[in-house]
Amino acid sequence: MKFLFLSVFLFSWAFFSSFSASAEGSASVADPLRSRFEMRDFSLLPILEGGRLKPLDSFARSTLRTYLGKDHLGDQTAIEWLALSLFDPAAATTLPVFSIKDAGLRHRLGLSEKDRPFYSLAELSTGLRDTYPQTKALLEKETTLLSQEDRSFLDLHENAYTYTQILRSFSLILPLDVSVPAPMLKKIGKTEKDKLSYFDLRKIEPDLQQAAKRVLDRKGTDLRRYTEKDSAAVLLAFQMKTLADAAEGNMLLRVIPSSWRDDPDRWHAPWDLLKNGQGSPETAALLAKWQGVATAWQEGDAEQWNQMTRGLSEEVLQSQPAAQSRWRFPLEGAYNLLRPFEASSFLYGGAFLCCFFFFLARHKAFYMAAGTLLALGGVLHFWGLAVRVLILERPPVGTLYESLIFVGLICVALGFAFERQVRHGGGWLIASLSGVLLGLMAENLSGPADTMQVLTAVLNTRFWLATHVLCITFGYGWCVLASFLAHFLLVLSVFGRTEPKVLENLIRILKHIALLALLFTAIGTILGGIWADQSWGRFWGWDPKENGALLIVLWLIWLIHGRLCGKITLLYWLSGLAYLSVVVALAWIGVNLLGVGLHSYGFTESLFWGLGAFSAFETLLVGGLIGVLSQKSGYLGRAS
Amino acid sequence: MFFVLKKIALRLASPNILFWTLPAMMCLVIAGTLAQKTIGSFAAQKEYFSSFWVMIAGIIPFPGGATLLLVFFANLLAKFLLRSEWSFVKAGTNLSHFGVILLVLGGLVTAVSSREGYLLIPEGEKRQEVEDYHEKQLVLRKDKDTRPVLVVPARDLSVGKTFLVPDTNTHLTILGYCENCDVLLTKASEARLIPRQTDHQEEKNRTGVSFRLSGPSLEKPKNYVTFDHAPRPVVVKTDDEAFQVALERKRQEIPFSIELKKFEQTFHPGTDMARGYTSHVVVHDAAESWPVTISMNQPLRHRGYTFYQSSFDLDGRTPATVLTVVRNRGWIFPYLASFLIALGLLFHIFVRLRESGR
Repeated sequence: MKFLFLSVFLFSWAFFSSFSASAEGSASVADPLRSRFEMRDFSLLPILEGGRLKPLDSFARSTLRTYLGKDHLGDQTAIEWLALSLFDPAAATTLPVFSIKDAGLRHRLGLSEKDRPFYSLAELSTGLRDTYPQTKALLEKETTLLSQEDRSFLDLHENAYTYTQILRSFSLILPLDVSVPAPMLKKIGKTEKDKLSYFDLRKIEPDLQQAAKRVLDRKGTDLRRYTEKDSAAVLLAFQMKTLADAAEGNMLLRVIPSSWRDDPDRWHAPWDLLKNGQGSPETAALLAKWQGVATAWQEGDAEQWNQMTRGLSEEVLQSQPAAQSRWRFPLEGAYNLLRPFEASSFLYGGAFLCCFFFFLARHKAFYMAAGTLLALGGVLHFWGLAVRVLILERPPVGTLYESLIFVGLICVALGFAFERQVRHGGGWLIASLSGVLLGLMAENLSGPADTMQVLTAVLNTRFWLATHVLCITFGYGWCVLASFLAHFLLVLSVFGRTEPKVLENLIRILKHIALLALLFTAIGTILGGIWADQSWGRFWGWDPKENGALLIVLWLIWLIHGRLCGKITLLYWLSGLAYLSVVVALAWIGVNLLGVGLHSYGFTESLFWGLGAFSAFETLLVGGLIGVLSQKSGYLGRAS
Repeated sequence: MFFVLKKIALRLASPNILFWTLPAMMCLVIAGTLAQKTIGSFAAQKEYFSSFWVMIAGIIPFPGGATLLLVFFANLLAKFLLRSEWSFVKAGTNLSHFGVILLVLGGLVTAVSSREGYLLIPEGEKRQEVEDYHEKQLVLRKDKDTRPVLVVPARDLSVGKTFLVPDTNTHLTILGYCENCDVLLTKASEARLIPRQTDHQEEKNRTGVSFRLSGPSLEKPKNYVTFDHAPRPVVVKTDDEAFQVALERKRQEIPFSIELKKFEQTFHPGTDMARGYTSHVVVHDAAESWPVTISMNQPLRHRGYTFYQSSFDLDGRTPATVLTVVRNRGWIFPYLASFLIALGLLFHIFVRLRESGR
């Protein structure tokens, strides 16, 4: 474990040292004034969101992805966008951060058409205000009855609301454009030259409200009766109240750790400190540091920014009880930067092309290139999984997305092992194709939100995640390998150029793979039953996911026993194993679409159609191969 | 006779039976899984998997889960006993087959013997009566928390049936019963049941019963209505005594009691997503008492009963835990079976790999 941690950490650090340079580099493109702003320390500041502490960089990326569909805004990185939104909210309202692809929705909000459908909060504000009453009616409807446009409409309102919360997160420490009477300034130890924030003025807020009340009591609301001093007093009190009211319930940016040592899980948003009486001398000192960071940003003072963010980062991390905070945030920063699964999918794609050219040209260079790309992809893939294990402190599979990622790696590893047996490129073809397909599916499924999720109570068990879940996902990996190899054998037989001896050897290997697939899926399914017995008091409840796993086991038993007793010919045995891909896809992903049972992730239209298209394609392909091969008198016919 | 039996057993051991049973099982699994979308999990389980026959899509007769499992079991048992090859090479296969036999046997034992219910225990209170999840009954008591004087199971609540309340001369006559109904208040103190379509999700149904109590000790016969989760029981006063009538879930007493000291719900920081639920209980059995902690994935097993953390109730003034109580004589089978199947398959693969290495 120590070695794993050390190697993962060193590897991460080597990459992360380039993170600051990259962030700097992109900053210089976005804004020459900010070219010397180092974003590294700022991006690694912890924030409590989604049930776990993560670096601000992760928060910025997932938030921007939710709004815009990508984690950068033009040349601006997500963390720069977040800094701008926090410290210069007025400017941020004009940034085109909302992507509205639905033309009907644009029309509904009264937006003008653009070349690219990206809109700023300022552009949306009128449409959002006018359509706000519609949200209430839609929220009362059942989700299943909402149209796609309605859903996008509600999402947009929600996103605009959270963005407003982000923009107002630090409104208590940002300088205000107000004039304060001299006696009151003296009371808080400030002069007319000083920039004042709500935080500075909070001590005299009761006095300000009293002064405004006196004016209103004396002169009412007729502004013509006000002196200049009266107007200033009422305006200031109004501004203070508006600011405080707007921040009501703003708990989004939990970046201030609790000052109570016995409550380390609690983190506060800036306004939470004031509104809910959670402040202390320590939190006030931290807020002052944040104020320094905000001032440095607003004044464009890079040196001050670099110094303040470093100081703030050190202070926050030091307040953390666990020593792991030292490496956890840089590690996640490196993970965000490298995007290991996207990168590995890209490498697998390259490896697949090399395999393809190798089969065409039979040139050794393509073979070597495919192996190298696969190995690089595999290392990156493994590193990504290891980072997730270290950060989340649990086994690697707890969600559907994670299962796809994990099975992808298993398939690549098994493909490698298979290639060691056959040494003709078939293993690498299987590894690269399964790696790239599963990687693309995972990316497609992941959505904009953070994929490092905490788990619900019943899944919150390391033992069962490490036994049942890993075992069944290993089984899926073996099944995918068996299916690919069966496809491979059927296609080879169609072309009929392969030696019967080679086919015989491959079939022998496939028999072992089918047995291993049965071993892992059967044991995984039974372990799932035992987990259910431990958690819900019954071994088997005919839950759709359980039934899906059972279906794979029954399918494999049927094929293996059918072949053994001579009921299934070699051609149909191979076709059955090839079609295992559909059985696995339905059991693994399809059952979740039913929306019933304990493993339901809800209906996703794209997933439904994708699965349907895949099943139809496989049915046609396998059916077609059976049709062609049953007419031929090749090896398969003879072996039957 | 022996010869005939052997012939039948050998026929039963035919691989053809397995070859045709497995696809039927797969079809049933698919149909039963899809049916859950429309008729719910509990009804689908009863209709497809626990039955001997099922009408798929309402028109196609098909063997149910019970029939297919029995055929599968008989075939495997006959094959294991009569046609197994007892050699080193086949040891793994035989062990796996034996594991599957145990697994199915365990399923049969569970299906026959398993009893399931729940205990709802408020903090600081003790409970010994397990309530059934599904079966309901009309109960007449002399006082709250006392043993019932009359219990009528839901299946006997048919219109016109009359029951004599023991040790009295009072009669209870069923006037109406519906598994799912609306309760219509006709006057301030009277209610009427309006039957509705039964929902396939059992918890969505509100079962109701209307009845009449009559007898010389009552001034005149009077009609009453009670239903699931009624805020209070119907109180009937006769010349001599008072009764409380309520529609309850079937209850069964267990030979010891569980006291809830504290229920805890923890959340992932900064969210309303639960991280865990824990019940700190004390088991009182005869003269002995000892503390136990029950949490998700950590049940309490005692005297053949297993208590699982399944739910909670924080709506009332006192927090309460809901523990699922299962008595399953077949619980050990899956544990043994999975061990044997894994061992058998591993051994088989090992032998195969060794053979192909030669």
